[in-house]
Amino acid sequence: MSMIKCPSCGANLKWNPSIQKLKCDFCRTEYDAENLKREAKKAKEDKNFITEAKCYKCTSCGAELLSYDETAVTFCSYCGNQSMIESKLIEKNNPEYIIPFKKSQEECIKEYKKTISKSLFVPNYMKDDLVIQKFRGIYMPYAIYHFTHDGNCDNKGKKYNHRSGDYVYYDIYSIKSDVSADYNGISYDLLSIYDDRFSQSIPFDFNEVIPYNTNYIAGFYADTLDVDADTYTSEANKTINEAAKKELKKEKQFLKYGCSNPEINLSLKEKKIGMFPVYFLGVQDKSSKYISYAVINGETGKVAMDLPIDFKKYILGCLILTIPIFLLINSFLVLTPTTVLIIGLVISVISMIISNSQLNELYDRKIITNNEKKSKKNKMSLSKKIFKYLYKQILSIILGIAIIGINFVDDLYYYGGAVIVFLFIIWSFYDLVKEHNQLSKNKLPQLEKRGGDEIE
Amino acid sequence: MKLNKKIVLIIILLFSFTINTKALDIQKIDGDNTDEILKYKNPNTSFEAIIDDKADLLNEEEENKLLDQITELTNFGNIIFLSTNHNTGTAEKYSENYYYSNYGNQNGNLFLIDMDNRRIIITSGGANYRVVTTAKANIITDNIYKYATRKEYYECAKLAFEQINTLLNNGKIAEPMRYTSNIVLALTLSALISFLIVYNNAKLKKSSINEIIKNSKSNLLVKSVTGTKTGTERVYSPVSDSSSGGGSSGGGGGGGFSGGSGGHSF
Repeated sequence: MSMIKCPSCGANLKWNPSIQKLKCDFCRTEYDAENLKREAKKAKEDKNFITEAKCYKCTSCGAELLSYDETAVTFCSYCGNQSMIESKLIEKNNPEYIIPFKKSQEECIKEYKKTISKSLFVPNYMKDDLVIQKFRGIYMPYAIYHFTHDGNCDNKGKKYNHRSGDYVYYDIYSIKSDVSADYNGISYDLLSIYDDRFSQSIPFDFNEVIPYNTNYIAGFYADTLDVDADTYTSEANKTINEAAKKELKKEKQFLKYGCSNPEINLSLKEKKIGMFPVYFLGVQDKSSKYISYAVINGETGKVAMDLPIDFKKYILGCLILTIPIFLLINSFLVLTPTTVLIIGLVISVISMIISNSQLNELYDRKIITNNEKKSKKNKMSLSKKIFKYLYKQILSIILGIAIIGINFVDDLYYYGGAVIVFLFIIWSFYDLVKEHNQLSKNKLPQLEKRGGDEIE
Repeated sequence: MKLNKKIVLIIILLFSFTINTKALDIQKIDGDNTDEILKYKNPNTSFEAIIDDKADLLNEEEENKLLDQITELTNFGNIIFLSTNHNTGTAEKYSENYYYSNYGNQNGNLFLIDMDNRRIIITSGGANYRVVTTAKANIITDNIYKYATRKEYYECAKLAFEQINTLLNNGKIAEPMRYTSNIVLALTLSALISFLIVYNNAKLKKSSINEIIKNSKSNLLVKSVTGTKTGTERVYSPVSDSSSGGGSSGGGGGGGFSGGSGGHSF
């Protein structure tokens, strides 16, 4: 086992993000990570230098976490389970890059609390200090893509020449350009349990990467990649092409030949693996069946997290907000019954649009399905959407339009209709909150990891 | 002499023909009762109170009672009760045109029962519009339209003028449905706004293209661009007829009716 020991007293050294150095737990001496002889020398000499790490496996979800020192892992960050067993010692090929932690756990907790304080209706269990202390610094494996293009780029141009009567004449150009493009550093995480919607919300700065050195992992944990680096190649390629195209658009030389949107296709030069720092927290809800995640970029401090809604707090908040809104409306508006009904219809439509967007996301994340075994559709079936989820909004819209269309004289129909429409709307908001919480809470993960020593 | 007499007779005939034509016109256009209009003029303010029941909705006794009631309002402005059986335009326009053609922008109020469009309207002119606004007119007609539905036209008009009188005397009128609908609306809006705030806050924002470039090592250099003409394309794109200058809209003339109306169907 390669432990990083203090040359002065032999105790464990840990990477301290606040001072960007290794610090001894016991004698408080500080060391530069690059200068510690053994690791630095071997890393430079041998690219395939193997590091040994202790692997801890969760007895509930199967997630694995690597520890490079003697610190035991007592709980699982991914499902909140309190039982982790030491499974094996594994030997692992080193990745090429690392971004050391730059934010300390205290700073991370401060950012988390700041985000929580700005969020309305967050359940109290997410603010519990005992829960917040469970933030864990983990190095996540990322694939880093390098795309290049050097040489000819073909495009077409169409430039206005002259008008003759009802006809306009354009000159067509074939454009050849010599372009050199180099984009290095677009990254995607290679961990299946680490949702892309989090990882892509807290981007890392490739300019901060340094050659890999196990010393930086001291005091933290690492996770093993279980997604092939080729998985994201085409997505990375598409993104980089778009970025390059945007830069190319600024070149005025293309406009000379009537080409306002020059295209370019970069190709993959190489892909490498890097370990990027993330503070990770899993918070189980009261039922212990679902878990919400919070992740903080260990380099920039940017937070991305699930924000479920506590329904009781939401209702209380709505009732409190009703007072100033009522005072405002009462002071300035006198609404006819028809106008009240029309406003109700507009709110119904807004509710339907939001619900539709949430349902699509629930379907994309496979939280709800079409329930058809051989369904090849990549969208939720329309009939299911309408009859199971959106029927409240649709009924209220139909009712409102019918009342306005019939043009009753008696106001009772309008006010009665408006009351029914608003009741449907409030009922639909209950669904909106429920859908939002389905998106913000995840089922406890179940991973299948291969057993035995793994040489990757 | 005979010739002069003939000429005078022809002139008189022509004149009476014109009058008759006008009367016919009025009757043709309005199809309304052309009985005498009841009128009262306030000697102090010179404002008038008028009962012009073209649709003959009130009997004589009711007309007189109503006139007695509304004379007090001439302290604030002209006050008119109007009804009609025939209106090809909107009730609001009819009411406003009637008021403006008789009183211009003087202070005053008009209550119209339009049997053709089945609407009751309250129009306010001059300074009275600042008190009996469109919103207030909507509230009053909202409170009384049921009487018109039940063909209790006198009662409807009486209540309308009572509430106008209350407002002009700085009193308050009942607005039950306004508060009810505003509470329900406020509750729904607060539910929507609260949810939208959370929804927007909770959305995880994927990195933009600019952010991706900023976080990577990137370099793009265009060394040369050469274009070779390969052909010509002809596109049909007819020139549109755009007349020069804007048409002039109807000539100026100052003002128009500066008041407003509110109403309700019955």
